Amino acid sequence: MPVTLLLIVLLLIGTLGWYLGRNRALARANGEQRALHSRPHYYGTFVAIAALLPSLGLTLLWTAAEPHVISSMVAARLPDAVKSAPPSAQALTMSTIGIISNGLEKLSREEIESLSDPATDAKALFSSRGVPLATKPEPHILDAARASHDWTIESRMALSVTAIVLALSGLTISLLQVTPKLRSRNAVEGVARAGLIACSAVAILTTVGIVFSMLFESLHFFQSVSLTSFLFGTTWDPRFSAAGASGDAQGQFGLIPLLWGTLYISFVALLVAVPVGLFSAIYMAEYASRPVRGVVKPLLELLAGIPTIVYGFFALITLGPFLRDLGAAIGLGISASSVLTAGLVIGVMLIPFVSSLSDDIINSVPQSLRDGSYGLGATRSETIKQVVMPAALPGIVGAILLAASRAIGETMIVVLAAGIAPNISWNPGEPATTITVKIVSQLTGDLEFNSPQTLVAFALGLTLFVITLALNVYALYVVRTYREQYD
Amino acid sequence: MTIETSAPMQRSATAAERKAASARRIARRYAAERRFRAYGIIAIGIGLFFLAMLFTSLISRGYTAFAQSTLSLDVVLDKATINPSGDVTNNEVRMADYMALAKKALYAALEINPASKPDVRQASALLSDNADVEIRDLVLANPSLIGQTVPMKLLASSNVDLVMKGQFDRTVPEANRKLSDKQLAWIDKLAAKGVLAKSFNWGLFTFGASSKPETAGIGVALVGTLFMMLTVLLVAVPIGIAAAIYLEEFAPKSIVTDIIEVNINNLAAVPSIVFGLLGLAMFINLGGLPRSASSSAALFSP
Repeated sequence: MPVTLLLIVLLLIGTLGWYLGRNRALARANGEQRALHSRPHYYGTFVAIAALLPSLGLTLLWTAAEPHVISSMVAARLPDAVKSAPPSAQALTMSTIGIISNGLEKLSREEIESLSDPATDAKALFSSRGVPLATKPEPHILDAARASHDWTIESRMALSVTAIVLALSGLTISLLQVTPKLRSRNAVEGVARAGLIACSAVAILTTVGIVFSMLFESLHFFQSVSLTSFLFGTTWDPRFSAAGASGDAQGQFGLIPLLWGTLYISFVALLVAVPVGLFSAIYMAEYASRPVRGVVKPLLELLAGIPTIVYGFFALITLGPFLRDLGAAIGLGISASSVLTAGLVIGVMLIPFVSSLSDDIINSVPQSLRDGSYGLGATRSETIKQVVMPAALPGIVGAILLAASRAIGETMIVVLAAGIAPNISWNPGEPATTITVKIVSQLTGDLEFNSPQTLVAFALGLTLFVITLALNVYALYVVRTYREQYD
Repeated sequence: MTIETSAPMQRSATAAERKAASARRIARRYAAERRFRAYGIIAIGIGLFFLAMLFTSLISRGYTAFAQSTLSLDVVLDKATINPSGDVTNNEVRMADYMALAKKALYAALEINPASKPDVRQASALLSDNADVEIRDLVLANPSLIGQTVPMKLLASSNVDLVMKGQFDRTVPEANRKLSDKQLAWIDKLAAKGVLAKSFNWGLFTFGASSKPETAGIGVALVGTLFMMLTVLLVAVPIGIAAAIYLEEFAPKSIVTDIIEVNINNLAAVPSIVFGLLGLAMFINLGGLPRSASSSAALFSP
């Protein structure tokens, strides 16, 4: 029975359980709803959950585990000559078996039988059903494929029977428990609550997943490159992975030039975003009339809704050449892709980020503080500078830190606009490269996940994660401390 | 008191001075106020300036892609070329030389002799290499049209498109140009007659990637993007709403829920490339993507 059909059958059983549970509860209470602990539909849901939850869980686990179990069983059956072959040849054999095994579904029973006869042209038979094979399959491969096919059918059969039996027994047992006194609403709410908790835990799981996957792949990387030469090396020269993995040919993976580029570009970006964003926020919160604010705020926030690839394109096509020509006109050497170009465009992208957050924070400063200041004769700007800003400062610092972590993690803009040459230089007109650019360039093209050239991407990713995590957590800490003051 | 009474002159002088000083101070403070206000307006101006620059740059560079040059030609769906056997289910209808029909229609519109080799070669360069696809699709959809003359809009080549959009530099010497003087004269003539005209480029949204500019579009990418959005919505919305409901309505205030909340806020700020690496690591470790290139080549080669 295919899995979709099984799912439909299980859902039907669940629906049946809902009606049975509801009607049984009503029947046991002689049709009087008042006598029931919970409203009738809770009894129905109680029975449906008892029928569906175990059987659906089993189906999920079974279908996830099935391919792995079957392929290891098939691998165990293969003759020793195949088992002792190199891993690549084994993978080839296993994939051929997989293709033939799937192709067997398109053959009739007689045709499958005829395959065991060596006179049959298996290749022609398969290709007539749209399953192209490179060569005539060897007998042991055909044999393994048939076994795999049979096992798959048996496994599906077993799954269907077990799941349906589980669903029906869940239904029966829960139905027997249905009495007017059963606290079915509490049980249903408990299940719903568990589901909600599971959804909240997804966030934790994702973080744990990021940390562990980065960590494991980075450990692979640090087997061939030492931690100190990665963290404190000043040369980034990974070479090609084809250069081999021994001695000098291995290349150097110094983080410092990338970190320098990342921080320099982020600094330029903040130099643009913080003053512009902050002053826009102050003007909009303190000075602007309602209609002006109603127009300007969404317009500025439009900047936040533009995909970063569009910004990158803008930097590459318009701003970069413009800055280059401008630099040439006033006698400065500015490359088309440079720290300045990338920093400027990231800064523009971050303006609404800084301004929106600061705007909210300035608005949440209580009016009484301003009124007190005005009462003492202060002008508006004095009030803002000496009363509102100090009160809002922690929140604004938090907003700036969040913007900084955005700038550090920004990928598409720097890929297009910053250049790819690792460069430690104070000159903002020169190209530089960032951690994110190098992650992208090390993972483009032919990949081999056992060479340091590719695995370094995970070490870089881990570095990036740690930097942004520290910034984010500190920013959140600052913002939260502030928020508690006026709530 | 005594000082004040004994020196009324001095007092009034200081009062006047004080008044002047305070007026100066107030003027200074008001100037600072105006400056501060101006900074705010300048900051907003800078933000809006960049927004305007971004949009003008994108639109001015991109808008021409929405128009496309087409040739309105009367195509003779010649039975001898398309379907000599008379059986419309025959494969020959699919394989017929529709390009020849398109070219013939163009020669007629240009009033050139189909026997003159140089003319023919230059004229056929005005048509897109994919002009035949439109005729074929039309014939396959309506086999009854075979033998009739049908007015059709056929795609012009990308060079013709550039001329029509004014992006072709005619001052370049003829030898270095992609279009000869003769071809340019034909284009002008066809444009004056209204045969060659720009129309909205629907193909931009339906075609896939192509090495020929006139038949390139974002159709495939658009479908991919929509599917991606759908998947993301289906995953993110239920889980996100459920998590929010739990944290706001059910969860007790404890360290665990606090950690979850900080975690969610933090996830929103983790660079997207780190999520990409997470996906890659999952592929390598759980999805069975082989670690080395040789084994992956072996896996994909059959």
